[in-house]
Order: sequence, then C-alpha cells, then structure tokens
Amino acid sequence: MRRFVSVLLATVAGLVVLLSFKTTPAKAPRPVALSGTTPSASSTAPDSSTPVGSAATSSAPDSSVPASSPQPSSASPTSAAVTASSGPSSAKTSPTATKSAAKPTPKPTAKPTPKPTPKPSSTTKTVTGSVVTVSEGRRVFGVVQVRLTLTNGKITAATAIQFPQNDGHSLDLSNYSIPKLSREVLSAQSASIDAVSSATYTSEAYAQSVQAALDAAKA
Amino acid sequence: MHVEHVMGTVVSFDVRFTDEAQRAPMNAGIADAVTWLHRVDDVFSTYRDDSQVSRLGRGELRLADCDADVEEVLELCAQVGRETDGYFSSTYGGRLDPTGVVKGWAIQRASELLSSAGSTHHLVNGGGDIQAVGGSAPGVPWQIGIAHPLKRDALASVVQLTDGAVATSGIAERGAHVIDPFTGQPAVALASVTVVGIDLIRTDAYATAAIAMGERAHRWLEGCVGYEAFAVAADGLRWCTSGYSRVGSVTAT
Amino acid sequence: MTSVLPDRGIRRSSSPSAPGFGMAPNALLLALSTGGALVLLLWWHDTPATLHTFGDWLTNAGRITGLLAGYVIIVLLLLMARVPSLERGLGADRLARWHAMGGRYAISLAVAHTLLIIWGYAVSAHESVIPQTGALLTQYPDVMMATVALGLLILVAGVSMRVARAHMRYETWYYLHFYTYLAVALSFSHEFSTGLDFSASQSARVLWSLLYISIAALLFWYRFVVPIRAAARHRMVVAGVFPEAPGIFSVHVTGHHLDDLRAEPGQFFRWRFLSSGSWWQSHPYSLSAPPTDRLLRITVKVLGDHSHALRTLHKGTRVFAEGPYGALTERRRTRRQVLLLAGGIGVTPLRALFETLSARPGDLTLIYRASSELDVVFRRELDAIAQWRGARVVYLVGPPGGDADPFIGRRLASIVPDLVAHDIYLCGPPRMMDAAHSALHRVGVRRRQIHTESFEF
Repeated sequence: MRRFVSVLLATVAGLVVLLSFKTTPAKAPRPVALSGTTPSASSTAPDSSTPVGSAATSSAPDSSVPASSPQPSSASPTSAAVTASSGPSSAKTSPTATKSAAKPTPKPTAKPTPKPTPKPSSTTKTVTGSVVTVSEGRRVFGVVQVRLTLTNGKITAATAIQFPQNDGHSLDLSNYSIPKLSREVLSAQSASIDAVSSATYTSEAYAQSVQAALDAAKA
Repeated sequence: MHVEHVMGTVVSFDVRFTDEAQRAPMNAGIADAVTWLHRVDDVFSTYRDDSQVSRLGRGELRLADCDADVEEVLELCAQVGRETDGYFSSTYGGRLDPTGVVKGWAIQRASELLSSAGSTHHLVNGGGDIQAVGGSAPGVPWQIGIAHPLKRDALASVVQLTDGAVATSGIAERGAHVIDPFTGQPAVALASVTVVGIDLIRTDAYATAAIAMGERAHRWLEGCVGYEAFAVAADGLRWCTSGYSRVGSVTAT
Repeated sequence: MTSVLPDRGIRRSSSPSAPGFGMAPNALLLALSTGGALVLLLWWHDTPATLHTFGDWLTNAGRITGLLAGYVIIVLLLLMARVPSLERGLGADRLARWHAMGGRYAISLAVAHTLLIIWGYAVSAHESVIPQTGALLTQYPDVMMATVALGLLILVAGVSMRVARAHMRYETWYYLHFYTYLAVALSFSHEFSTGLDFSASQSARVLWSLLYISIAALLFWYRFVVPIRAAARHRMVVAGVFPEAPGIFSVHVTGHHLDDLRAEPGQFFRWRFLSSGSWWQSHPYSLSAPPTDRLLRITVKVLGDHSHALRTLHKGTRVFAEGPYGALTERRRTRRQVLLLAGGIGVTPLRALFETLSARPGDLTLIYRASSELDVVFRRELDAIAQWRGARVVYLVGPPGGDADPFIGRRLASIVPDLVAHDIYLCGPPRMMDAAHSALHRVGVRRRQIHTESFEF
C-alpha cells in the first residue's frame, strides 16, 4: 500500500513537472514582427502595363541596386533606406531584412524575373495552424483548424479540419495546436501577409482559404 | 483576432494593441462590430425572405418604413451607379440587390466602430473586402495578399497599406456572378479586379463595376482619382493602373 | 502409492537444455518504461507551450493520465498473455504481482483522467461540472461507452480488493475479471475520436492500433492457439489418482510426446481437467516429480472445491495442460551448494528439484518444514533420494515458533553450516516464506541467492 501511494505521488509530481514545461504566462498579442520583407515599392517605378515580375522580397535589393547585388549585406541597408516607411520600422525590420535579403542568391539582375528565393532544400512541408473559434452571434459554431501544405515555401494546399461543437472541447482544442504557421514560412513569392483580399468567399469556402490559415495562425 | 460567420461569408477581425489595458475595450469594440454586422444581415440580406430589403424589393415595405440605413445605402448605390457609368447597379434583373454596396459599407462601418472603441491598428476582412487602419504595427503597413483568381492558394499581388481599403471582385469564388447590366450577360473578360482606395464602399463597388466593364475597366479605373487597381484577365494577363506600384507589387508568375 | 525412482522410465538429465529465452525482469521494466516515455512524448510533441490557465492544466493533466491509462492497461494484458519468454524470465508469480500492482495504478489513472477532463473542460468553458459532464456524455457517443468501460474497471477493482475476494469464490472473481477485456474494447473508440493526440494525427493512431493489435495477437496466440495445439498433440489423460497423505493426493497424467513440452523440474502447469465439475477452471500445480516422456505427476492438497473435485477424477479423463511455467529451476543456479527450503505443500516442486539438481554428495540439503506429521509427504521418496545422492533431508515438524521452527534466530545457520555459500530454493505458504526471508537475511544471505515461487497468486 505504501508503495502504491508513493507511485501515485510520483505521478502527480511528474504531471506537475511536465505541465510546467509547457506553461507560459498569458500576454497580450504584440504586433507581429514582419520578417523584414519590405518590398521595393518606392524604389521601382515600372511601366504600369508591364507586369512587374519581381518577387517582393528578393527583387528589392536587386532591381534597385544592381551593382551591389553580389554583396547581399550591402543591399539590405539600401533597401531599408529606400523603404518609405519610417525609421523605426526599418530598425525593426533590418535584422530580419538582412536575413531575408541574404537568402536570395546574389546574382546580377539581368533577368527581369528572378527566381523566388531559393531554399536550400526543395521540400514539401505540412504545417498546422492553431485553431480558430468561429462563432455566430453568441453561438459557438465550432472551430476550424487549417492545415497548409507548403512546397518550396509556397502554399500549395490548404485543408480545414472541423471539430464537433462543444465548448470545453473546442477550447481545449484552441490551445492544442501549435501555431506553426510562422511568417518565414509563407511564400517568398509573397511578402509575409496579414490578410488576403479575394472575391467574396462563402462560409464554406472560407475554411479552405488562405485567409483562414492566416486567421488561425494569429489566433 | 475574431472570426464571425455573418452575411453569408466570414468576417475576420485582426486587432492589434500593445497595452494589455486595451484588451477589454478592444473586445468590446469587436463585440459591437459583430452586433452591427448581424444587424446589417438582418436588414439587408437578400437570402432571407424576412429582411427589410427583401420585403422592400417585393413591395411589402415602403422605403419610409425601413431603417434609415436602407435609404442611405440605396442612395449610395445610386451615386456609385452614376460614378461607374451605370455599370454598378443595385437592381439585377429587376430585383433589388444592393449587396455590392452593403458589404463594403458594413465593413467600413464596423471598422469605424473599432476605431471609436480606441483601436488604432486593425484590419477587418469581410469575405475578401478589407478595411485597414494604422498598419499592423506603428510604422509598419499591413501586408495584404491578393488571391490569384486562376491559381488556387497562390497570390497574384501584394498590397501594402497603412490606412485604406482593398476589395477584390471576380469569378474565383462564385463564378461569373457579375452581370453586365447593358448586355445582360455575365462578365467574363476579367478573372478578378482589385481596387485599392480609402473607403471600402467605393472600393468594393468599383471593383464589382470593373468586372462588369470588362475591357473598358482599365481605362475607367485609370481615371478614378484616389483609387488604384490591379487586375487579372481571364487569359492570365495582368494589368494595373499607373499608380498601383505605389501601393502594391505584383508577384512573379 | 507412487512408484518412483529407478522404476520409472527415462529420467531426464538434470542439466537443463535451456529451451528458450527468458527475459530478465529489469530488461522488461526498461522496455515498459521506454514505452511509457514514448507515450508521454506524444503528448509533449502535440502540445504547444502556451498553457496558462488552471483549466489548461487540468485538461492537459487529464490528457496525460488518459494516455498513460491506455498504455498501462495494454501492458497489463501483455503480462497476462502467457508469453513464454516472460514466463520463463520473470516467473508466473512475479507477473501476477506486477499485474495486480499495475492494475491498481491503471484504474487510478483512468479515474483521474475522467475527473480531470470533466473539471478541466468545465473550468475552461466557465461552466459548472454537472452540465459539463452531461455535455460530454451526450455529445460524443464514444464517451458514453468509455464511461461504461470506466464503470466496469471500477467494478473489477472493487471485486479484486482483498476484502471482497475473501468472501468470493475464486472462480467468480476470475470470471468477473474478464470484464476488463470488454472495458478495453468499449473505451478504445473514444481514444481516437475525442483524444486530441490521436484525432489529429494518423500516425499516432496507427502506432497505437499496432500496439493494441500486437498484444491482442499475443494473447490470442499464447492463450488459445498454443494450448489447443498442445492438447491435440499431447492428448493427456489421467492415468490414476493416488493418495499420499491425509488430504493430499497425487494425480498421474500421461500423454504423448511429453518431452516436447520441455518441462523442467521445479516448473508447474496450469491444469484443466475435463470432468463435469472442473472443466471450466484451470489451476496451477507444480510437477512433483521430474517429467518424463510418458508421465507427469502433480501432488495436490485439498484446500477448496476444485482440489476436492480432483480426488475423484476418473482414469482416462482428458487433461489440458498449459505450460510449462515457472522460474524455479536449475537455470537459476549461482553456487555449488544448494538448500531447498520447503514449507507444507510447497515441497512439491522442490521434490522434483531434489532429485535432479546437479550436486555432488554433501552439497544438497532439503529442509522440509511442516506443521504436523500428517502433512509430510514423500517421506520414503525423499529418504531414498537422499541416500543414493548423498544429499541431506531434514524434517522439521511442529508449529511455528516452536522447537522445530528453523527461522528463529540463527537456527537456520546452525542446521546448514556455510549457508551464505548456498543457493536457496524456497517454496511454501506466504507466512513461512516471509519468515524464511528474514532469517536468511539475518544470516547474510543475499537476495540474489534466493529463488522463490509463491503459490498465492
């Protein structure tokens, strides 16, 4: 009996230890830091009719400062300076700007359509966003969890998983998923996106949408 | 972050704040906005037989008996109709359908509710129509992707916006649902048109009108002061207005 | 009377032919702990480091206890699957003890899981516990089944408690115990449909299912297929029932290819005698003589209904014998000298070992402790073996605590000089075994030298 009690106590202690590793104190959502992909909107002034076939991130240093492209590090301060946004933002974004600017290969910008940022490995990756509680008025409609498949950093598939309605269970679910949809992962083809504008989607179509994935990642 | 099913679509509220003390007023603001949207749905939904607009359309109600908002919306529809040379219309095939204005107007008003609750950084996305305020962080504009109408889950363009509205109309979600009011045929020349402006009402309505215009849209949009546009034609060719590059960049293929 | 010794057929050599692999207890513990750690890792991997409310803690504690409960229960079934390497390596009594301890733990985990989940959901949803329970029960059909399963487990726990078993026939308890299988089956579906770690991960579901399926397969194979095949092959029947002493008798069982059983002296079988009163029970009895190709002998003391019924077995009654089981064998030897310490009917396996353990004259001693002269069996056989082997047999007959009790003080050491240099094989009633353990410990004998088998499982 004594041994049994000590086993139970050890279990409780083990639970406390395990749970405490996964605990963080609650904090207000900070403004989500961008990954420094400040596109060169101000630096390029192309003809309106020509498709500006430049990737939002990698083209910034390239198209504006072709001469300095072999040195990615020198390109980033340029793009940061060129950014129309105010100073603090470039300070915030430049560390990561260096990172993302360093990613594109420092090749000369002879061609108008540079490749998307080459990643070391062309992998297909599946990430699961956190769960968004969807409600209609006061009624909890349910939860949506979106799973994205990314190939080479581009979103190639998004599937939604729906869960049955039950407040406690859904709330449990909302803590459950790891917010894996990191900003860096979103495609190089597009800068890190806060929202998506499209033709009006129905409720059903929403679940499949990239907007849903973004909502889920931010929840 | 809050997501609400209303008006037949999904509205996403992205409210940013730095001070924990703002959380409660922000949540209150969101709640107000949600209530507002549901009210709009009750009054304006053409899918519901008992909404004021439906009954008004059937002649069961007089305009004087409806909410003041209905009159305001209808007045807006008329104005926009004139501005778009008639390509935007609130009557389709004789039925009253102010939806093209209602959504943008409702979202814009929801955004105003959030602002009056004290929000300085927020983005409301009502089924693809966006009203944005303040950027995602001080000095950081909102990054808004434009869904590619022909490629699933790809983006055709990216818009950076600190304050403003983005609306996209097109065939991607509901097919060719925009009718050319002059020919009566569905407009299919353009797969999607995205308009960027200050107010969502007109941004939304102009986008819809542009779809109806088809080939003419480019020139007409060029002439709209204060609004930029980007479009993807049905064959995949993309074009944009001359000032578009101030707000957006076009993605590679 | 039994005929024994040179009259019998081929006597097996005393050196074991090592029929198979026996898993060491520590190795099994290590493997089971690793499995448990993997299960916890599943939770760890699936859970973001974003818990911060009390409700989060409760719910996640509920998830962890649920996962562990599911794991421990399937391990319990593994222990009872009669897997030969486990039986050989750990011994049936240790397996039974582990099963009992694990059973208490598993049911505690299951109850904790249920309560934590209900409470956690209630707190997270700012609801009170009763409506939350109702919600859980009604909105998920699988949870209702899981609740029934929990009830069954609590029932089984209740009847397994010592106080209950004292008032219950062994057979009743035994068959109630089988409801655990039903409980496992009923609760399985809610693990996949409601359990977060499984509902969103197909690979987790696959692995968990594989675990359950493989252990079910082991159960089926070793508890059904193997015994049936053995029965068909060996076609054992009762050859005769012979009294040994008042209330004690031997059953001789004969059959075919009995050597294939590879039973070793000291081992036991689980016997099922197909006669009208006893066909639906199986009981363990040790071989009381070294097995031969044609004869197995067990010796039974009348203690209950079943043993009583065996007395009247007819010759030719069919016998199913599952086994051999037991770790009280030659292979445990560590030293040259051996002391066999028998208490009461515990002499049965030791009687077989006494004849076959390899030992030089003077190295082997049997101490036979009995409370009354009427309880002493095999006296003639034991004396005969002692004489031709040069071994020593000491009869200590008398009540515990009296002059005949060797476990008082250091008496044992005076009976067997150089006790620390002996392997001790110990078998008897629990109280005697406890006293023996203490006495041996007092004299300095290490646990590694003591090999026991308890009959009381």
